[in-house]
Formats: sequence, structure tokens, C-alpha cells
Amino acid sequence: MPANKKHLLQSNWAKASKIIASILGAFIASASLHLALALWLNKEMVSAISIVTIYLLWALFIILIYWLKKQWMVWGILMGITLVSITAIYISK
Amino acid sequence: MAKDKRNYNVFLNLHTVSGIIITVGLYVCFFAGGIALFYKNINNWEHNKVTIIQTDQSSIDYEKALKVIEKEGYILENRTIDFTVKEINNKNYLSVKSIKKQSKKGKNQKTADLNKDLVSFNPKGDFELELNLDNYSKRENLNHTKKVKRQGKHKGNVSKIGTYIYHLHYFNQLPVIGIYLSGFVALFFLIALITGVIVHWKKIFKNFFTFRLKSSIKILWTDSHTALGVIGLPFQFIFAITGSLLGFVMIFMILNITVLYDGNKDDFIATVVPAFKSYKSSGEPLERRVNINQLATTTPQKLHINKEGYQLTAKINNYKDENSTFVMMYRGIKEKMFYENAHIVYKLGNGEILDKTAVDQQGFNLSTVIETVRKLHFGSYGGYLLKLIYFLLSLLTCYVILSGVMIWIVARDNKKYESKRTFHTNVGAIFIGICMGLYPAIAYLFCLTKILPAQMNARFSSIENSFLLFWLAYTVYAYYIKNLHTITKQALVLGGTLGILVPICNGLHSDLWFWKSLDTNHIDSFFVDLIWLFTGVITLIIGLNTKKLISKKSK
Repeated sequence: MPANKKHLLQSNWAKASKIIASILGAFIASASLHLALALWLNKEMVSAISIVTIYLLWALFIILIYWLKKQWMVWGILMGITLVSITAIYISK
Repeated sequence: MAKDKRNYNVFLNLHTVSGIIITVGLYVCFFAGGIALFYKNINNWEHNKVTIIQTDQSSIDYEKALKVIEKEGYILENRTIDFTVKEINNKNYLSVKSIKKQSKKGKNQKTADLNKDLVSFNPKGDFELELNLDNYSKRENLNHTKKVKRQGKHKGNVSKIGTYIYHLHYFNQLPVIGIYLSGFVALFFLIALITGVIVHWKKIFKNFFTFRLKSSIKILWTDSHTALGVIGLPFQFIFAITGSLLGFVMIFMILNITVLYDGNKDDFIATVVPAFKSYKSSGEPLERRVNINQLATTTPQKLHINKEGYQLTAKINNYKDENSTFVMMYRGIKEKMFYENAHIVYKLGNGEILDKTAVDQQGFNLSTVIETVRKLHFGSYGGYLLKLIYFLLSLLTCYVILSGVMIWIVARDNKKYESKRTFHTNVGAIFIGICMGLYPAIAYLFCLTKILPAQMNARFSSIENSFLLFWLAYTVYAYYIKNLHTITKQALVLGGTLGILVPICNGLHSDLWFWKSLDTNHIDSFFVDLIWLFTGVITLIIGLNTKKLISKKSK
């Protein structure tokens, strides 16, 4: 029943990067996405819904991080979402 | 397929790791949280309070209260005055309070000055008075010095054990990081839930009624873990999300304010909680003003409030200034209401309505969502039956957590993990020790408050420290004996005997034996005593009769 180790990542660097990516990176990606949406769409409503969905999205991002095999894909997706959101926020100011 | 196998293993690993990391924290959250559902009743039990009826708050005479305060010599210019109905020593009073907000810097020194003001009744300073509701005379406050004793950084009155258990539930005892830690625990709980569902997806319906109790021990724990986990899934999901929200609410606010509102905190407050909007004083004195009582009596009709069960807080901002406002906030506290808050803001000069939200005109915005989250999290929308269901479901979740740890231990109880055997037994002993030790420790806490004399020096901190020491001692003892069956059995027996002692201590201390308390209207005392007696007896019987689980292989 304990997970078969051969399917999981081996190197320590990869493990560390996944942990950081999951907790911090997923939070930044999820939060920036919600803030960008709030600025482009109706501020109040998105702000209200985001209070719940920020955490849901954060959890889903963390699961996504562990699910994907390639590390660069993981960072790519997170960075991508963060950059797009930040540019969107910057533009609307 | 290889890909399926890999996915299954990845999600199982994620579920296991996130589960094990948060075991202790989550168990404390759910156990203390379940008990904290009834924290008001526990506080009342502790102080032997009689259940009193709410007064009709629409008949408060604000003008008379203001006159009385001015006669006492307080200067009311430009002050923010709060009116609430408070209950002290089993009687209702109108509390009128005006305390200027202190800045963060030099807070310690300013609170010392504030203490001095309240104690010496400096007429020019801040005040907090209680007025009798019939003739608005001031209540004599004899033990004033005791009242303003600072309790440290804790919010709310922490010298009551109900509130203490509530604070325990989001780790408020740990300075600063406690609440964020609980937010993280809730977040990892969310991950564990989602991955658990993914792992179990194919067998959810097939195995719902599978309870293979006679097979191996590992299968016993697994089946109970999955079956009870599936039953409690919606409840746990609600708590995972609301818990992480409430834990991280500070970060959320800061993000929102800086990005969406350009760092303008007042704007944010005005949009989210319009009742608390601060109005700047214009510096010009007020010429004439409307009669506040007239405004107060017409308000319920304007806000479409036509039944009982609201808590009213009234506030005057910038009194005697041109921009002074009178705010009335209604909060639906009767248990059957889901969301019925309303507020109204009048301009004191001409009675003009500046802002109004009627009871049936709620918009969809941040404040309504936050209030809904609070209702869901605290279970305050359905009366005592709902709280009982929440409590039973939280005990169910505690069982799911513990059975998860048991699966983790039993699955590694074979030759393949021989090298890490001591690690596993130690971790198991510590976790089960902490979790099971919490129950006798809380029973001990209840007994202590009724044993120690009321006039003792530093009473509450010695109770607090004694509780924590007891809990720590049980954990160390568990680490020492390492046998999980014995740990659990002895925790149940200890908790059971201490639980039976609780109503006995209450009776000896305050002569409110539970057969007497119902007649004298001490309803909370009666129920808390009875529940401890009941659970104490049951856990004692179960604890004395448990037999060790013997796996079929070793027979």
C-alpha cells in the first residue's frame, strides 16, 4: 500500500524544488490570477468569489505540480500564469 | 497501464505525506473545534450563569444616556460612542463606551495611560460606563481595577475556558504564527481530501458498504478510513476551505488592499463593510440635530425588520461635529437565521439616510461571502441540533485522521521497512499519544476550573500551564510505553474517570448539582454536567473493555 518509490522522483534537488514550487509558487500564481481577474472584471464580485477559490486553486496547483513528470513544465506553467497576471495588473493601472 | 499506476502512486504519496504532516495539528483543530462549538455554554457553566432573556433593544433611550454621561463630566466632542447591551452578573445593562484608538507605536505606554484613565475616571479621557436600563443611572463599578487588567495579546476574554479551547483550535497560543499555521494545516487538509478522492475514485461506490472486519488489521483500518472518510467528505471539504480562508484572512486582506484599492484601507472598508466606514470630521460644530430616539424607533421598519432575534450595536461618529453620523447595525444572531444583517447610517444634522442595507436586500459582495463562510464554519445557522451534528461529524473526522495514522504504521510493519522500524514506532507513539492525550487533558482542564479557588493569584495562567503540562506529560508517557493499544486504552480510562469527576467537582464547588441546576434556570450548567457524565461513563466502559487487536497471521 505505501507508494512504490520507483514511480516518484529521486533526486534531492527535484524534491526541494517541488516543495518550494508547491507552497510559494502556487500561492503566487493563484493569488495573482485572481487579482488580475478582479481588476479586469467586476471588482466586487470577483473579490467575493476569490475568497473561496484562491485556496481551491492553490490546492489544485499543488496537486498539479506533483502530478507532472517534468520539472521544467511545472515551473513553466506557474511562471507563465504569474507573468500573464502581473502584466494584466500592470496594464490596467 | 503504466501511466495509471504512476498516477495512482503519485497521488497516494501526496495523500500520505500531506496527511502525516498535518496529523497532530488537524486532530487538535477538529477535536478542540468540536468542543469549541459550544464555547458560550462552557463559559456560562464555568461562571454559573443563569440563562437570561434578551431585552427589547428598540426601546433604548439614547438621548437620556447621552445626558447622563454629559452630567458625569465627560467631554463628548468629536468622539466615537458605542452603545451595546451587555450582560454583567446575570443582569442586562446598556454599555456606553468611547475609547480612542491607540496607535501601534508606543502601544505599551499608551495602554498603561489608558488603564490609568479608566481606573481614575478621568473626566476628560476615555470612558466605558454601564447604565441601568430602567432609570439610566450609572452602575457602580466596584472592582474596576480587576476589569481592566490586560490579558496579553489574546483577543477576547481568555480567562474563560470555553474561549481558551476556541483559541487552542486555531493555535492562538503560539504568538503570531499560530493562526497562519492553522491556515496551512487547512490547506494541506484540502490537498489530502482531493488526492484521497482521486485515489479512491474507482472504488467509492463499490466499496461503500464494505466493512471487512475479520480480515487483516490493515484492511480493517483501511475500510473504516475510506468508508467514514467518504461519509464525512462534504463536511470536511467545507472546513478545509473555510478553515484556510479564516487562517489566511490577513494575507488576503493585505493583498486585496494593496492591489485592488491602491493601498487605501478606508476605501476597502467602505466597500466591504459599509457600516464601519469612517467619516472625517469637518471641524465645524453641529448647529441642530435630530432626536436620536426618533431615528432609532423608525429604523426597524425601514430595514424591513419585523421579528426578534437581532443584536443591535449603535454608534455615533464624530459627535457634535457637522459630519456626525449615527450608525445602527443589526446582526441576526437567532440560531435559525442564515444571513440577515442590516445596517443604516443617518446624518445627525438633518436625519438624512446616508447608507442603508435592508434585511432582504443583500448584495453579493465580500462582506456577505465572509459572513456566510463564518456561518458555515461555526455552524450557527441551525440551533443546537446542527451543532450536535457538526460535533459528531468532527469526532468522525478525528477517527478518520487516527485510522490514517494506523494504516501508515501497519503498512510499514513488515520486513521491507526494518531499518526504519524505530522511527515508525516512535512517530506512531508520539502522534497517538498527543491525540488521545488531549481528551483526558481537557477533562482535567474542566475539573481544575472548579477546584482552584477564585481569588488565587495568576489563576488562569496556572490553569493554562497545568493543562499543557498534563498534556505534555501524557505524550512523554506515551513515548515511553510505545504500545499503541495501551496508550489508547489508558487515555480512554483516564479521560472517562476525569469526565465523571467534572460534574462532581462542579457540585462540590458551587453547590449546583445537576439535579438542582435545571430548576434554578442554570441550563448551561445542567447540560455541560450531564454531557460530561454521559461521555465519561461511556469512555470508561469502552476503555476497560477493549481487547487488543490480534492479526490473523500471528494466531
